[in-house]
Amino acid sequence: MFLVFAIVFFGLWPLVRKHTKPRLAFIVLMSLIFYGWAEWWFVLLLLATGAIDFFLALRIEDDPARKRLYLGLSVGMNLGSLATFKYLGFFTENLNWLLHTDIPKLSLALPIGISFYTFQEMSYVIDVYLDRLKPTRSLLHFFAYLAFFPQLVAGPIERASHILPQLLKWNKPTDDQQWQGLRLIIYGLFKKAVIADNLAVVVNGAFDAPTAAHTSIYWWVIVTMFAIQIYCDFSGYSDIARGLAKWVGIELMFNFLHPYNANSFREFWRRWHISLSSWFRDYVYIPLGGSKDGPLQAHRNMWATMLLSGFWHGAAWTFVLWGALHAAYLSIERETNWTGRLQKLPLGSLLASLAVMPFIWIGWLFFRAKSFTDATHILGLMLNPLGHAGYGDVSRIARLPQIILLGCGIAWLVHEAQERGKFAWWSNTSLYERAVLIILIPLIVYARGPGGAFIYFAF
Amino acid sequence: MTNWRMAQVVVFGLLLVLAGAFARPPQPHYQEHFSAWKPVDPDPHWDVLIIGDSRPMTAVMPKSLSQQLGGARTMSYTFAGMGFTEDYLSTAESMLDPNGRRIMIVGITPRAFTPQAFASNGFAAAKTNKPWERWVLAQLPAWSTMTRPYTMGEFRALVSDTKQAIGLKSGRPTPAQLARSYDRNAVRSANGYDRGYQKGPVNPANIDRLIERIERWKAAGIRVLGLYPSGEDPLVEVERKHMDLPAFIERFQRAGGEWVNMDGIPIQANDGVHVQLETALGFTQRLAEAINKHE
Repeated sequence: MFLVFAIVFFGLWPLVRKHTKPRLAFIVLMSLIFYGWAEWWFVLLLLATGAIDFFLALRIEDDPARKRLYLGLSVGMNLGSLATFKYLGFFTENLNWLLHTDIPKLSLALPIGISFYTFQEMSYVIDVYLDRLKPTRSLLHFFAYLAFFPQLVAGPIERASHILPQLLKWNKPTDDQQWQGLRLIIYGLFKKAVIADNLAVVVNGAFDAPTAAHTSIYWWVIVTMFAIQIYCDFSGYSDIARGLAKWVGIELMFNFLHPYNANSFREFWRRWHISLSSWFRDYVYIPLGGSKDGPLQAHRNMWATMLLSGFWHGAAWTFVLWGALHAAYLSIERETNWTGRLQKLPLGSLLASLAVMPFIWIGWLFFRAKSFTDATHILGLMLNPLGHAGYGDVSRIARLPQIILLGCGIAWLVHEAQERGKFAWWSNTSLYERAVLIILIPLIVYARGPGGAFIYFAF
Repeated sequence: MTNWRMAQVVVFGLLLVLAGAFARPPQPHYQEHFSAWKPVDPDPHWDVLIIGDSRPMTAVMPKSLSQQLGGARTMSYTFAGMGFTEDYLSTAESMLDPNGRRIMIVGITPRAFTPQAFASNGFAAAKTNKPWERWVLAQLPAWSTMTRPYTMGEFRALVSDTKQAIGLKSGRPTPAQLARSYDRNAVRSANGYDRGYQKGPVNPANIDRLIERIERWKAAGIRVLGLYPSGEDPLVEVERKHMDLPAFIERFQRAGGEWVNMDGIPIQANDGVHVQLETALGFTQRLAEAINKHE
């Protein structure tokens, strides 16, 4: 379906791209069709909240005396929308548990991407409030920013100051931009369809039966697979989004920068879902005071930010716990600097990366498990390798197509080469790069997994 | 496209996709017998004939069966959307070599006894189609599966022995099958069948006619075996509502037919209805064992 949509979009694009109004109208129209395809009323919610934020931002600009009121209205409306559509069921469930009441659980359908576009709306209004941004007076212009289809449903969570100016004028994509777009789309599809979707089969099977008798090593392998799956799934989407945007002459921000190469937790959060972590840094952590009021306050602010970040991901305590775990990791790291000390040893950077990884994996366990009970049960097995020794059950999952591992290796090396400039002596040859991309295309078709939505669509 | 590098990547990438489609190892399951390209006039030179609709078509693999029966000339004389009409049963009978092993395998699906199956009969349609139309129809399944993901067996088959790799000797479930990701399709298909049965229920007179035919075949020395080419659970539940299969089996056996039970064979179906290769291999092996046991 997306392929048909993309063909229609890029088929008609040349007709409208040169003139601002038709271009913006076309982007908005196609983005809304794309977004409303699954459920038309999702579009109404997007249009309603977007229009309100657009007008509130204008009020802030035109009536600065009452700008706090308008900001409060906007933040209240956005958080209210999130609370209603994403967290209502969670709140009633917990209220019932806490007060021993029996309030019927209301779970509304979760509009795809609501967390992403709501954050874009909020950052727009806050930036206008803080005089960082002049609001646009064109509703089309605003919605082209808010609903831009490549990144609408799963980010990157863009800032208006970055996108609005790009939308205003037609920047003909250079040859290099087009080429980079194609590269990103092919790598993104490969990461999603081949690596993530194939790994999902094994990972889903394991987490659907968490109480089945398994060894410690089995669960370490499963959680490692999930770590690769979620990275390839989410960064694959971001790559595709960035690639498509390049083809219309728009540069989206980096969302991932080899997060598993991080040699500290702090570094990890500079590399993982960059658009979200920078959003929380700019709109939660720093406004709370950041680290400027002393170490205790810095810890408090960081914990608040991480807990909110966990909660942003989903209406479940496992996500909050995932955020809390990372807050704890960051706190300990800040106090002891143990990763910094490791880095000073010979091969220290590698050692630190390897030392950080199991902790991140444990975080992913809570992120992926269906319940807190499942997560603690699995963690018990993982942390007791002597009590649950052996590796017989790993052979069941070792049947994974070798092609995935091979492809994974290729994609990883190529990505490394391209993004970090390493292996330059061989990877920068144009022929090599073309050959890899040509091979990846049939692999995307024939080695793809059984499919499934992107993980972050659920957020 | 002004970017020459892009053009190269896209064109050569798509050429490799095309090459992948044609390099796919032969799939007896689809390409050889999932077709309308079958004789519709008497052609008496087969030892074993499989009859029924698209479900036995995908559930029994004639080539594999033939191998397990010591090279018996085996044909899947199945037609999608077929009903057990007199015309079809007579033509099927005429396909068996009078001097051969004379084995008829009947795939029993409730739908084949419904008025719809009789009204829009796949066999009748095949008779009226022109040869070129039948040829085109025969190619459709191959095209529809052209970009289906390769199984590991098929990947191996690119560089190794084809038969073994595609599972004729060992059927290993693929990750796709393990995922059981077709549940949604299974429910959707079962609901479709349910609606069909409600519109036109199984006609007992059509069952009577088949039973009479089996009695006649038996009297004429034709060995008749029956099977229920099961689908996923939702379909089985629907079909249980619309046809009393145990009662049918009893009548089938009283008429002289041998019923082959497929219990214990894991069911994996693309759409919840038509089983996949691994399940078909299991069904085929069970049939071959039943045939060999009493010969």
